[in-house]
Amino acid sequence: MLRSVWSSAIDHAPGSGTVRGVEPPGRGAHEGPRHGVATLPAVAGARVRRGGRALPMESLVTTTARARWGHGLDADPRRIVELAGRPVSLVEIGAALAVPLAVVRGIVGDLVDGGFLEVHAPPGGCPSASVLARLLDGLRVP
Amino acid sequence: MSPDHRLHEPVPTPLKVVVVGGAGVGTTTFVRAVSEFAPPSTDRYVTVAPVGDLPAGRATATTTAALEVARVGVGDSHVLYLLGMPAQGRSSMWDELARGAVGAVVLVDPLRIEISFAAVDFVESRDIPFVVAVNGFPGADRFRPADVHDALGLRGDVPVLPTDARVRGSCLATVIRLVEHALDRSVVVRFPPVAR
Repeated sequence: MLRSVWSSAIDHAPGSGTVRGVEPPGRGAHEGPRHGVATLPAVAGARVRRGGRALPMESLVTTTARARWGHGLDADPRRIVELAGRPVSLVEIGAALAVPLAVVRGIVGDLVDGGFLEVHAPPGGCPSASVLARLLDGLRVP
Repeated sequence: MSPDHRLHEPVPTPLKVVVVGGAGVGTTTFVRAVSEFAPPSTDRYVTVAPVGDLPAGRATATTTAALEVARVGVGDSHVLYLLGMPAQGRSSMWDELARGAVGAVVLVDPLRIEISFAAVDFVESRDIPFVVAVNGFPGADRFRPADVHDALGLRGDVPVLPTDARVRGSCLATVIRLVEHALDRSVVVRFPPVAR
């Protein structure tokens, strides 16, 4: 049920097709196809959607070295690249841009495909006792 | 700072705590209170904003219930998100919120305790650790935590504690109690939840 909701949202999100302005840098028409290079972002993009499963909303994204080429992006993708100058979660991006998570996932997926962003998914499952203990220490800092 | 420099900073592991309750019991207040008085000079920086309020003219195929987000820096290795679930939120979003969560804070107004029944059902059915925070509405101090515990039909080990959702320190103390409870649960043998 959950998946169908998110999947349908992603299908209609701008990111499901091609977001205008989200094109990998250095792939202009005059350069022709760049075989071998395009497969890497495609693999990275698969990680964003996890074979149809949406990434957890708390997943963090960061910029890659390519992000400096992102000046020509549209407003929302460019803002996301700016936000990802430090690790930022999908849910924070949604808050900052005032857009639904499905839209964030779509644009982030395109930016990963374009090589601008890297996704750091949480390990999954319940947090371990050692993680909880460290969290407790962090919260107790005055 | 150049992008290349940032590339080498360690990426923290995200953790999340869900804040749920019924309409008007203070989930938004709770999440925003954690953000409001953050000393900007420490790493305990916080952002807060609703997700899903669409600006006029922005077309979308779906709408998302407004989800309150607060970020709490807890050292270099982890970052904690407080996610406030709106009362009118869809159950599909509850599923996603619960997955991998540290646990949940269930806010209750003891004068309208039935408002929070659905939230208690939600966290019990997902078997995530939770605490019940009795928000300090006028008259709330007439109810003992044990009364609230009984009224909600909670399992014996679920903490019930008073909270003032307007006060950052009170909210953080509630979150700390939740993490302690989650830690207690993680070191004991877990049995499957009993079918009801």
